[in-house]
Amino acid sequence: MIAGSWSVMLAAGCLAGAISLVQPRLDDARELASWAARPAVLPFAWAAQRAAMHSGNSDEVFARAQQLLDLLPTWTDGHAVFAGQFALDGGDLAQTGPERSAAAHRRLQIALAWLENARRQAGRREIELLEQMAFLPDIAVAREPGLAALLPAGGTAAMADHYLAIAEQLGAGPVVRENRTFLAVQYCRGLLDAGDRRGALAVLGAAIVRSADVRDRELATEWSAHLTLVQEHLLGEPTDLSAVFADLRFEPLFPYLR
Amino acid sequence: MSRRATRHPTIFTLQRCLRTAALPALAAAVVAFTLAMWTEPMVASAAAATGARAPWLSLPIFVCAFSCVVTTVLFWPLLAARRPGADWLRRLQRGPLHGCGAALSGALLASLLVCAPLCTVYAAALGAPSIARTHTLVPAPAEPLLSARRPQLHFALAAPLLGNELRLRPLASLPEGPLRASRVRVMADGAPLATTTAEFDQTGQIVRIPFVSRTISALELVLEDGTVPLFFPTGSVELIGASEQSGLANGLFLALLAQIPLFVALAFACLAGAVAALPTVLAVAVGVLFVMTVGGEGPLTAALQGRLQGHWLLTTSVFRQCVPSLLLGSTAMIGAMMLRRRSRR
Repeated sequence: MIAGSWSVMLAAGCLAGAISLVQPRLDDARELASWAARPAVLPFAWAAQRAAMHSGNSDEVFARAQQLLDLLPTWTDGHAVFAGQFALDGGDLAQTGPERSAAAHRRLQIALAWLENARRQAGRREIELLEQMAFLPDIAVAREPGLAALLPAGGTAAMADHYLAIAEQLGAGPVVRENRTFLAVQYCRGLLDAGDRRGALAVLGAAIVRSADVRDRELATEWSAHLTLVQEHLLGEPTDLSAVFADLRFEPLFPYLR
Repeated sequence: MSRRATRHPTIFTLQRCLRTAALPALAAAVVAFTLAMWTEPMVASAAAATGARAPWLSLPIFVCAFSCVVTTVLFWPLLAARRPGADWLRRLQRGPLHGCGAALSGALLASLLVCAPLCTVYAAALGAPSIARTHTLVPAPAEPLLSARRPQLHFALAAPLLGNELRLRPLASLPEGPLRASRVRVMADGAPLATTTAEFDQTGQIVRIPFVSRTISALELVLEDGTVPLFFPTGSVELIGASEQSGLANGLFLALLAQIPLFVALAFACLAGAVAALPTVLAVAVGVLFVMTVGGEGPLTAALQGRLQGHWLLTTSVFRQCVPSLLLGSTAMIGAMMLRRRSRR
């Protein structure tokens, strides 16, 4: 009995010491709660997310994705894919003209605001998240051309510059601008996994344009050619993909190219 | 109420369950509502995403059912083997289930009383619409593939329906040639339903076609252009009814549906209790309850979502979803009766 009480007191003392040393913040408590809830809730959150994709609208799918990613705050690829899917959603097909562009603009703003919020927890992958954020306006405009008129002065280039400048400040260096086009493969894979072929095509289109940023012209030409081949294949055109299969940077896309 | 009636196991269990389940369910509702407001998702239209709040509605319902299950199993000695007082009760309760059925009905009544405000008032606070509409899934034809080779699909409704909106969500196959979105014209009883066509090029796209209220008995989808074959299984064409139903009645019906997991859990407790001791019975009952509420098996998950999205629940399709769970629970009860009769011999 006495040994038991000593053990409890020792454990309490160790806990108090650990807390005073670590000085936890509210975010840490939240992370701990999410870590504890994850095993019990995550499988059902995924099931609910899949159900929403089958029977809900884009708002509901995105809301479910946010619930899911609240449990996985450091999964930046997931954030980028779900935000991209929401921003690139075709919207209400009954809408036309300015109404449709305004809805696309609102979706883009929400997606970027949500990704901005996700930056706090992205840790060492924050730069990658910023690169994906820089990509998003380009893709959204490719998907909904009417959106360009609603963007701030400088359009997609200015928006991308804003995020890339932050990434540079965070220590990524000027290479971050060149890197953007190479991120397309992973991003494209995420969208194809989610069944969003149109989104993947928009990403490829934007990546082909962005390959002009690469200073090594030989590398840029080769990369752009491979991206074009993948794009043609996804468009259903007969294509010889042997050059793409020889390029291991495209490995994430191989399941969708066979 | 006569003295005899108030001393019935149903009333005893009802009182006990109400006492133990009401406050935890209320506390869970307060916590869930706070969390729902705190984790408000960033979306274009909060009203369109109310279905995503289903977990916050299911939490207090789960807490209520959990409290009722634990209370009933602990309270009624014959729900587990070798409990103190069981022999006395067995002599007094001469029915095939020794009063377990009455205890179960008391728990169900208590849970219904707690769930009724949760499914009406609390659901409305979470954003459930005050009116509900019927969502009828149009049965698919025998070969539901719309492609260049088969450019027309005919859907016959079981009975003419008064509707004002049609929702299409087909599955898209790989394109048969260079990708060109498939444009589909929708005809109702031979006349075009909308002036524009619906375009699809990948799975998951949803197209809403609102129209002036009219009675529809047959639908026809005509492929006008495009290379993407579209598959329209049952569930991909949904007709929204024009008449408005009461959201309150919808909530009350949801409260009834919310009793199904509790019924199945207690039925399994009754079955296990014929041979197993208290810890096993509790584990079985809570396990079944968890699978049927949080795990999403059974009709409750879809019903919660339907309530929040404004789908009228009193339909044959919802009833059809309930049948397997009700059969499972009833079979467990029959099994419990047989086991108890054998152990009495």
